[in-house]
Amino acid sequence: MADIKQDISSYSLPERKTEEKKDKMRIICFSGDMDKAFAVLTLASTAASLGMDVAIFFTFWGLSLIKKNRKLKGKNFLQKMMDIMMPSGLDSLKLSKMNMAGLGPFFMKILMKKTKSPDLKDLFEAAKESGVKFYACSTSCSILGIDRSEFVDEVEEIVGAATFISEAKDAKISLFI
Amino acid sequence: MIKVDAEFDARGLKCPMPVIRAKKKLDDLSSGQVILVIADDPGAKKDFPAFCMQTGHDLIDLKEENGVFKFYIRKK
Repeated sequence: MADIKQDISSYSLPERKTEEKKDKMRIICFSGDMDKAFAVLTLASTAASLGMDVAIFFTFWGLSLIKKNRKLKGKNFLQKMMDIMMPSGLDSLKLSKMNMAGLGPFFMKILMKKTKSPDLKDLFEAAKESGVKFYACSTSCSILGIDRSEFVDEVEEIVGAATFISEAKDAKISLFI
Repeated sequence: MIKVDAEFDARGLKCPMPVIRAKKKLDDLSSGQVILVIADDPGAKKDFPAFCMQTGHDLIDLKEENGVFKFYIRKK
């Protein structure tokens, strides 16, 4: 009996105890759109700077944000097609409106530079440095045939719905973007 | 005159960078030290008081001149 109990405790997330006092913010990043990615990363990095314990769960199209490369090996035909069509990485995201075959994001990047606003990479760095945790959804990964090696190193783990629920249950702020 | 231990010029930085960078500067200070943050992002006016309220740092003074804000923050 004692062994089983020990086994279970080793599965719980290690930071739970130390972070208990901090207010939590949990975000599901469902969208892979550039504009929504701004919202996700801005709010996450700001909340972390305000002393909150922040984690983002990337799922479905949101996985595009944390992908670093395309890997076709080991995927079936449809998964390969999906991989080719899905944006891969913060630099390749599309706008949810006025994408105009990539012209929209291009204009947006120029505008960000001109107005000296932080771009997605800056915000991701800021989020990382302020201690935001990144998780990928296991089901989306298995549907799309994506494995850990296709994600940026900052992604801590591939987790399931139960992890999100147990993490979000006592979160002060939880968002679905 | 408030004695300032560190200064952070966030002019030109847009939300949320002034808060994020200021937080990092504050991490380098020790408790009781004061940082002067200068910002011109219009959101800063409410953002820094909110930041201080959330984190427990003490906003000792706030000045505004021609759209430039000066925040004197004492680290908790």
